[in-house]
Amino acid sequence: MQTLVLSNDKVANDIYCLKLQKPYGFDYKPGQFLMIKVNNLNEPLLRRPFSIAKAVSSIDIYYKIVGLGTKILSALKNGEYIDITGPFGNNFEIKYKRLALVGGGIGVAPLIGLKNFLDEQKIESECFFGFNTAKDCFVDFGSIATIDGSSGIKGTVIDMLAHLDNSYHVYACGPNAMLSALCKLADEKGFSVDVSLESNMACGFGVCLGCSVNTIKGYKQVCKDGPIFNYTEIIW
Amino acid sequence: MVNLSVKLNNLIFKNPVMTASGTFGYGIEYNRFFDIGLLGGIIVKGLSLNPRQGNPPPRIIETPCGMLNSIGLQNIGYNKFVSDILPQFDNIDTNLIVNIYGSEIGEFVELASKLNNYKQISALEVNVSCPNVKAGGATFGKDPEVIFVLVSSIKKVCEKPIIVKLTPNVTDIALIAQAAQSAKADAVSLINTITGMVIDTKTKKPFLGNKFGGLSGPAIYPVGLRMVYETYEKINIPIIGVGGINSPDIAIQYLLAGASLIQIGTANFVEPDISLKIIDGIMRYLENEEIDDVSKLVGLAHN
Repeated sequence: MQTLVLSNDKVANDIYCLKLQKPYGFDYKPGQFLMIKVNNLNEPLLRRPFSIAKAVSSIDIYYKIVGLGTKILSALKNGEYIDITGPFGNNFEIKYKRLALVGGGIGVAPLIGLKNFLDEQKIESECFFGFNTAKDCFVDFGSIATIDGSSGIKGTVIDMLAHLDNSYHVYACGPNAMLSALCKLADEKGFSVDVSLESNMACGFGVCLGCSVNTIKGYKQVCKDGPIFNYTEIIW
Repeated sequence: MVNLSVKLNNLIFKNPVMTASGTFGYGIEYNRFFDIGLLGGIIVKGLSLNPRQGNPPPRIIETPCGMLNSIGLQNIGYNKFVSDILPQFDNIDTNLIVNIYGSEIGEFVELASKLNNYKQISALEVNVSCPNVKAGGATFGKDPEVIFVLVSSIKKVCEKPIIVKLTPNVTDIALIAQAAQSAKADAVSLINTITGMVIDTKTKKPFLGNKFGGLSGPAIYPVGLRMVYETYEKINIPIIGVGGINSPDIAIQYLLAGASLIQIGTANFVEPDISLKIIDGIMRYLENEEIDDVSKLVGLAHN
């Protein structure tokens, strides 16, 4: 679906916020993602998956320049059109526990949508976000940790979670190193964790079978069975 | 008025555009994008007697104007297919073609004979060309004698038209097509993906979990086109052209090279309703060229 670009601004080091005109009837649940074709050429060939941070008046997406696709995307100007499909995937399920949102780097993006939703529903939550430096930070809420100490506490996001116990449920997204450290802590402290996973994918709706992840119930598709999984399901 | 319909034995295709196995799921997944009954045919994900898990991830990586996949024929297996999927095709007005795979001849034959009983199925496409599975698959597709025995055995147990899907990873694809024709195959489809690999320079190891994968996408269309062209001069049964088609222009090139029907593959991932645009584009081309029947395009590139 051709969608109007409303704005596409740099919000941190290599990180952009793309706002698209929300198509009529666009129905989104926190945790879901879009597939974007960054141009109408054969190169890059495939769409790229992006988690949706917000879909209230516009569809907001935060992305980091990591390769050719996102580089092309960053050059888009407001008034131009871009082709999207979606939303796809499952969504964050709200648990009746104390809720904590834990994100690292660009992995914070899907949690912004969840935070907005929880605030709307007047459900309390605590947010913990980690970045390499202050220059990489693109959120203005939550507790922040940076590796170099240039913003918030000095250390990793995991260092802020010592108080979590089995009364908590955590929603997490971030690099694998962060997720495995988080899951190790979860095993020690007894809190539960849902993670939003990332994968290469060609279609986004369960037909290419390219985004398989190994789980205790065999291979599952990140795009259709996920992107959100309980961490105990995943074979890390 | 232009005629887009194509006949293959007793089967009528409302237009020459089908969707390729492995790129269109079981068909129904695409109903959210468009009415799949508008297609000439749907070829579903490769089916085996028993469910298959497929290969370890990572399974795909993008390459220049293409992609490499090593899915490894992950599928739900025969029982689930006939109980859960087939009934959904009772009222879909298109040709449902089931792509079948076995690790040995006996498995192909058993599957073909079981599927022969279902009225929802129009034809079978025999996968002798999957590059991503160790037994059977492409190794079958490289030996003309094995192809002859396999296809003859399937023809004995299945009355539905049999299409043989050929691998491009051979020296002379026309020779394999001739073997399929001698065994009374009703059509051949070519090409399946071209074997390739990508190495991750960070880890210094193959990127795909299965090391090698199959290359698809617009990057491979000149190869598929050349093979269809060559094969057209060597056999009399219809050819179904597949490989890198993502525009009406490339689809028409395949028809001109000698394909009676075509399949859209990787492009389905990128533009789920691309097939409709290709059907429309072929129609416009015929109107502009004042050609009243799509069959009249077939093989025009030959002298």
